[in-house]
Amino acid sequence: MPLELIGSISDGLCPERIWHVAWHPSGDILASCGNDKQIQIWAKEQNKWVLAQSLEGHEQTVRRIAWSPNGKYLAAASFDVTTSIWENTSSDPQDIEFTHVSSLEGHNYEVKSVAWDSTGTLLATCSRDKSIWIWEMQEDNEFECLSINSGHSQDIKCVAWHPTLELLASGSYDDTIKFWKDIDGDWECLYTLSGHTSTVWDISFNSTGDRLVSCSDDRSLLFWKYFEGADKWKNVCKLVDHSSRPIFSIDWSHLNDKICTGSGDDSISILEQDKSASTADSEQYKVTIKHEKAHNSDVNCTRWNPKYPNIFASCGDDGTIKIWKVIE
Amino acid sequence: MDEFDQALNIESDTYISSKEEGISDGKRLGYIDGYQLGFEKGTELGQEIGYYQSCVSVWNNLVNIYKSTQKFTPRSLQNLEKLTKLLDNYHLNFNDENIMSSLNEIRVKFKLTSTQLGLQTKEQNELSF
Repeated sequence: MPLELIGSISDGLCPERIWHVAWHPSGDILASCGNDKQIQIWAKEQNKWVLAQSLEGHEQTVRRIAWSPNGKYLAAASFDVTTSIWENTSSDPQDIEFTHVSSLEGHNYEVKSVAWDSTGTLLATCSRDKSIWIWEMQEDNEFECLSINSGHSQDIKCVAWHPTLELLASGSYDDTIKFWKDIDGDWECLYTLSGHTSTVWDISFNSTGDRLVSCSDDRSLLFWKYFEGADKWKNVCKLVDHSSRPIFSIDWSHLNDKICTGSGDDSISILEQDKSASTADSEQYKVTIKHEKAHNSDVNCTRWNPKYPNIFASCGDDGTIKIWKVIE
Repeated sequence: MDEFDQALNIESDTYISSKEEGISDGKRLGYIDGYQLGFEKGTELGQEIGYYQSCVSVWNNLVNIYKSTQKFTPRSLQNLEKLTKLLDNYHLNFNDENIMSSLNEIRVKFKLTSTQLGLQTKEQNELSF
């Protein structure tokens, strides 16, 4: 089951590290961000990826970007301690014209990640200041801060919302994953998942939200399952040794349940559940493809296309974005 | 033979008496150092709590004055109330183990309330609108 490179975008003579890629919900537009402090929006024109718009304004590296569920807004988390919000103000729904509409301030240090909840009304940001801020979008593009969640003892690297519930998960440099929920007006930490022995770089829910997978600096992948009866998240599978370096990115496809990861050993792996070997308490996942030298350096992000199955994008320290197809 | 005994024991005798002197000197100096450090840290803590209490007292007054023009969101008012309660219940009792975690709770609530009220606090030293 090989991996086919179907598209490539590189920045030019002096490529700068690209941190993150995010697909627009339509599956036809891709946004990227990185060390050049800009957000690039790419669209396909006759089988070639072209730059549709470049969003400038941040004063430091942009670490992560996230599209709102309706694709009208783009949020960007930056090392300049702010989170910017951009709205597509084009009168033509097929056209791309993003305007800066809001700047979320408050974090004391670099903002590492941003994520919209499934309804598109809540936004979560996390930072090296060890806190997670929950924001609610109001009319006229104003954002009100609902809560400042503290609990992690170190830098928080990633946040991810449950696909349907108002439940937030976060991964941190303190080796744990925490779940947060609004309980009677106050956001509280519901669960703390320990298991990794180093920084949790990325986390991803499956389409039904009863499984979570996490990847870490400790080179392992941990799969977590929610047991409703016990109201607990338990580790049901641990994969080690398939990467010789930290695994920086992981994404669980909501289309076909495949998982893609990007690693510091320049490789990209595809994983699937081995249903025949799985039981209620212990599941088996295996690497079905390990593609070495996917990039010329660390792979920072891998993300599945939300509309077209078996297609995903990756980006890395080598300053390139690549589009791949899993051949079945 | 007594004179020789004295000469033989001179090293161990000196060691014992010097050690006792050292211990009592150390206790004395340690107390002085500890007192200074405690005084410093206590003052910092008091200043921080005092700052929050003064802000909260001003905010509560402002809210009362401008209540009719409805400048404040219900959420911000709720959090201001919670923050006021937290500060009222905070006592500088150094035998209480939770003194630092309660302080952290107050810090987070203060940051949240100031953000919701539309104010920016800088490094706890300046308040800008």
